[in-house]
Amino acid sequence: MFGLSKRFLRFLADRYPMRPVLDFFDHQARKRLPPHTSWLHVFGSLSLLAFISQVITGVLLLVYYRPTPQEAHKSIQYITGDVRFGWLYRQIHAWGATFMILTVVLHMMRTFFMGAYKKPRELTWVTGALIFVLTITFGFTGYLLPWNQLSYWATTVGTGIASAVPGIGPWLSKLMLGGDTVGAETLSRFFTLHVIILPWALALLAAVHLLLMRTQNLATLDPVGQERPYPPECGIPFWPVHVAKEGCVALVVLGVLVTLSVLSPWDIGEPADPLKTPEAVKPEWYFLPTYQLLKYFVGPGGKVLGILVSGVPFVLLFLWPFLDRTPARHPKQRPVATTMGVIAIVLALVFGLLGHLSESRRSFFGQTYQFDIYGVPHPVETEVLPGGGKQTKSMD
Amino acid sequence: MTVGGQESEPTRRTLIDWVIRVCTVVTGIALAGPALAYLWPVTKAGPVKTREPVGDAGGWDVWQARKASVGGRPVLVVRTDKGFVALSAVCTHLGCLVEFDAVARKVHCPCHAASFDLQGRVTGGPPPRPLPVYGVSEVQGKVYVSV
Repeated sequence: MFGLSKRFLRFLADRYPMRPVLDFFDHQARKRLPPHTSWLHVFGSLSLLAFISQVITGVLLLVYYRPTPQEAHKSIQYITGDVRFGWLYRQIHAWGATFMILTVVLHMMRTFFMGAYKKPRELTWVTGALIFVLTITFGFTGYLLPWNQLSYWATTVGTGIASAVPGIGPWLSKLMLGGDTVGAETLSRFFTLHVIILPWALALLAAVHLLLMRTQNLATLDPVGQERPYPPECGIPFWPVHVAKEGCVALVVLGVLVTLSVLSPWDIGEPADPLKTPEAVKPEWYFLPTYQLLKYFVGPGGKVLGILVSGVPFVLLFLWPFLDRTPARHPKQRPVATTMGVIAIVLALVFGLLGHLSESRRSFFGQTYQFDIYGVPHPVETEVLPGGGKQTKSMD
Repeated sequence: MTVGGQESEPTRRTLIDWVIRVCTVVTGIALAGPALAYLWPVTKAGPVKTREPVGDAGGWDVWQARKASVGGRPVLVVRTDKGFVALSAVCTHLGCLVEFDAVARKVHCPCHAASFDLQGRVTGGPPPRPLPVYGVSEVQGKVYVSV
């Protein structure tokens, strides 16, 4: 089999200028990575693997999915119930979305804390930030496609937030919805974005990102302008050592995805009903921090102020390499940036947790709490009624 | 791996190379198999037959034919002087829909002049196989066809 490929390459080389192409791939494969390259450096390729997985499972789902309000939910039922292995590909796609966002975030965190965004790699960071924005847009548009109650109302909330953007809000909301409310036009637009525009945009950005990264090689932990060239014998060969690491992690992650698909499948949910809003509609986990933060901005200008405040992290994300011009890369030599990064992560986790707990009832150590919209717990007392029934009342 | 024209001992790197290649191929096959099964159209299979009504017997003249879709298949139902006959309406030549000629009391295909009798046998033209014949019954004034 490999003899055949060598023969085919010789066939091409006899006819076309293959030498530069082959030399390029050979050089990329045998390139040495900096000695500090570790298991933390697999998240970039994991993000790419996640994207490829989403494209493949997405194309498979496209064969049977119907993007109209009348048929969307039924087509998902058909895929899940009737098509061979349809349940598996649908679940891998659903869990894959969470996984892709998670790996992109972890990759960004690794890059941030290792100062790899600094000169000369600022544009690599900017393209990466764009990839992050596209990834969560993928999540937002894809979430509507099953056309169940959660999809419909989460999109209604999300586009409602967009309408509060100062100046262009109502225009932006109308453009997204294709009208005044979530409907057939919205589904059509989100479908177009999700299956054509975003995949091509992300593929192009990822190619540019990879090209920039490969041209400049992985950053070391040396300060900007003081990068020491490491002797080749000290570096880690990309092929096969680093690829082996990435391959191991990729296979493990594939196994985890399939396991989650079998043991913790996503619900199909009830078909969307524009006349019935379910209680406590919440967005997916990657939007929870912003969703929860916006609740604390009340009053006449509260919504607008909330959107401006929640937009600040995204602006900082794009501008960070141009704001942080200190030369140090090692996290221990950059206490300010490292601290700000840690604070950002902690805030995101706290608001995300508050968002998850808000408007729900949980029991801890025998005491039941009702969490309000701000995530503040209020103890409730459960009274056993004559006849065996239970009644709860707040103890506040 | 050859060095100086002589085979040298395989290295750890060679082993890792091969492990990765084999794992990639096996994973690819394991993923491609279910994907191909997924893409194969879902069809109702097995002994369960579809039986559907195609019309009322009253008002159906003798030697009158009607077309209907039963179980997703086009069916030609003809009332003869001896009862009802149901045949596949899809010509076995190239798939055109056939018509019933009430004068000649034959089934013909307008595409390439195929002709069939009411037992589905080919009586003229290029079809390679007879038309499938389906079960038909009349119950309480309604005509049912089983495919």
